[in-house]
Amino acid sequence: MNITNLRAALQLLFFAVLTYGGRAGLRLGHALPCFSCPYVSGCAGQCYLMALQNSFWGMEMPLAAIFTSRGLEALLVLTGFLLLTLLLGKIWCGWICPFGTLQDWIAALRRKLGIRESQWSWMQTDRLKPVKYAFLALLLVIPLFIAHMGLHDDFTLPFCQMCPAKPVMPLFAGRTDYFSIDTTNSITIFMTSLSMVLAAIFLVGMFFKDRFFCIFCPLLALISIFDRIGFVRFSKNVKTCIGCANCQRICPVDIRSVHTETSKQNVMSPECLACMKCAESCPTDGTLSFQWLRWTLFTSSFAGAIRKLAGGRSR
Amino acid sequence: MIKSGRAVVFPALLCSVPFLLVLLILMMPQSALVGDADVQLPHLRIVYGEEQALSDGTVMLPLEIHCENIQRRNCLENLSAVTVGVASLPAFGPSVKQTKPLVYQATPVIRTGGRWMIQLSTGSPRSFAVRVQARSAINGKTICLTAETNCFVFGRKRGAKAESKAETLTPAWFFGLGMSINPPFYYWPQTETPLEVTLCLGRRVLPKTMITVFDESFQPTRYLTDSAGRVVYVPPDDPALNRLSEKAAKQVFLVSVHNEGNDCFVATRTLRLHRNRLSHFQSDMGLVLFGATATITGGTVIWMRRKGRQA
Repeated sequence: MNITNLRAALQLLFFAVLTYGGRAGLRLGHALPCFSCPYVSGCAGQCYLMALQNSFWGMEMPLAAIFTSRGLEALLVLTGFLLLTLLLGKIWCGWICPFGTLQDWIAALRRKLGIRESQWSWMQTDRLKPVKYAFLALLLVIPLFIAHMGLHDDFTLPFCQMCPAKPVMPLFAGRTDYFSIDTTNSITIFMTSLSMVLAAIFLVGMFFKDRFFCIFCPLLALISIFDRIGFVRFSKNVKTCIGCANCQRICPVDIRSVHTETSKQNVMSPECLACMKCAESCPTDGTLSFQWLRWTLFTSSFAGAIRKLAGGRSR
Repeated sequence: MIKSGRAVVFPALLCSVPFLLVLLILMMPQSALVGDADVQLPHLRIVYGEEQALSDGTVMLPLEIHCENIQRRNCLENLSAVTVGVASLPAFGPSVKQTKPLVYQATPVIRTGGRWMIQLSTGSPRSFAVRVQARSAINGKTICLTAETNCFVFGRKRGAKAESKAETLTPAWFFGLGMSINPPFYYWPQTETPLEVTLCLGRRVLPKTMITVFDESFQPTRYLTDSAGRVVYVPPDDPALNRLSEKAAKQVFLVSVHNEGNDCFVATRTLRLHRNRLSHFQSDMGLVLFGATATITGGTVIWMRRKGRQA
C-alpha cells in the first residue's frame, strides 16, 4: 500500500471515528487539534477552538475564575491540546481532521469530473496567508469583549458561528438545522447569514481548489506555532535535491518553500499539512523525509515516485 | 334653558361612574381575578434569584419562597408545617429520560429579615426538582399549599461529586396538589415549546380543573384540564426575551385551586422560561442565501477561469 492509499484509508477511519464515535461511547475530550465539530451530535471529541473561545475553559472565562479550580481545568484542556499537538503536529491536519478529509473528497469529485484545479499566482497565495491569523485573533479577542466589555452574549463562540464546518459537518449526522437563518434577533440574523455566506464560499472554493479552507484555518495557524518543538519533523536534504519542483506542483496548499529552500534542513512551513504528497512524489532517495523524533515516518525514493507516477494519481 | 351648574354636574358624574369603574378594572393588573374566590386564597410561589458562580466553580442558585394572596400581601407568617424537598439528578444523560420516581431530600429554609430562601448549590451540572409544602387556615378551612419548580444549575467545580447527607423524604411526606410538567427535565423550559401540565392529588388526576397561568407581568390566562387531568401549555414567543442573551429567562407561574370537603388545595408551579433555541431557524432563508452565494461564487470562479484561459 502506498502512502496515498494509506492516508485515504486512515482519513476514512478517523472521519468515521470522530464523527460517529460518540454514539459508541467514545469520549476524546475537548482538546482535539482538528475540526471534530461539536455541533455534530454523537461526535467522539471536540475541536479545541470551541474550548478556547468558550466561558468554561476559554477566553470568555471571567478573570476571577482564572486562579481557581476552573482555571486549572482550563489549563488542563490547554495542556491536552499542547500534548496532542506536539505529539502529532500537522498530521492532525493532513491525516485526521474530518473537515480536511471532506475537502479531499470534494477535490476527488472534481478530479473525477475532469475539472482542473484553479491555479493561483504566488502573490495571491502569499496575500491570503495572513487571513488565518486574523481569524485566530478574532476568536481570541471577541470572547474577551463579551466577558469584559459587555459585548452581547449572542456573539459567543464567534469562530464556531461562522465556521463552514458548523452547517456542513452535522449533515453527516443527519442534521440540516444549521443551514438556516436564526431570526431570533439582529445579531443572530447577522451571524447565521455570515455563516451561510462563508459556508457557500468555502464549499465552492473547496471544489475548485484543494484544501481551500486550510488556507484560512485558524487551527492550522495555532498548531503551526508549535512546529519547531513538535515531534513531527519535515526535513530536506538540500544536497541531494535535483530541483525538479515536483514537491511544489503536488502540494495541495501551494507551498513553494520546500522547493526553494537551499540551506536549511527543516522545511516545515506554517501552511504545511504533513500530507506527505511532496515526499511521495520526490524522485531522489532520502531528499524529503518526515520524522517522528528520530524515527523516519516516510522518506522520498525514486522507486516510490515512479510507482506514484505509474499509478497516475494527480494532486 | 340653562340648568344650574349642580344640576348638570350631578347627572354627568352619575353617568361617568360605570365608565370609571370599567377603567379602574382595566387598569388593575389582576383584573381578571377580582371576584374569583379561589384565587384570592394565599398561594406559595418559588421565585428565582440571581445565580452566583463562586470562584471554585460551584454555582449557587437562591430561590425565594413567597406566600401571597391576591392583594399581594405577605402571608408567610400564617403558614404551618412548612417543608422543602429537593430532588437532584445529573443534568445530562439519564435524567432526560427520567423514569424512576424522584427521591426528595429535606432542605432547610433560610429565614432572614422576613424573607424565606432556599439555596441550591452544586459543583457539577445538575437538574433539580424543588417542592415546597405548607398549610394555612382561613375561616376554619384548611388550605394545603404547594409550590414546585424544576431547574438546571451548571456547576463547574473540578472533581465535584453530588453527595448529600440530608434526610430522604418518604412518600408520606407529600400532601397537597401536584402540578407536574412533561417533559420534566428537557434542557430548560423554552418559549414556543409545548409543556404538558398534569394536575394530581395524590395519585388521582384532576380533570376539568382550572389552571391559571400568570405571565411575567402577572397577566392571567386560564386553561381547563382535560379528562386525563392534563393541559398543554405553549408559552408564547417573547420578542423582549429574544433580544436578550440566551441565558436570560423570565418567570411564569401556574396556579391551580381545588376544593375537596373542608380542605382547599392550592398548587403553584414556577417556570423559568428561556427563549426558544430553534424555533426562529428559517431554513428557507438559509438555503436561499447559501444557494445564491454559492451560485455567485461558482459563477465568478468559472468566469475568472475562462477569462484567464483566454488571456
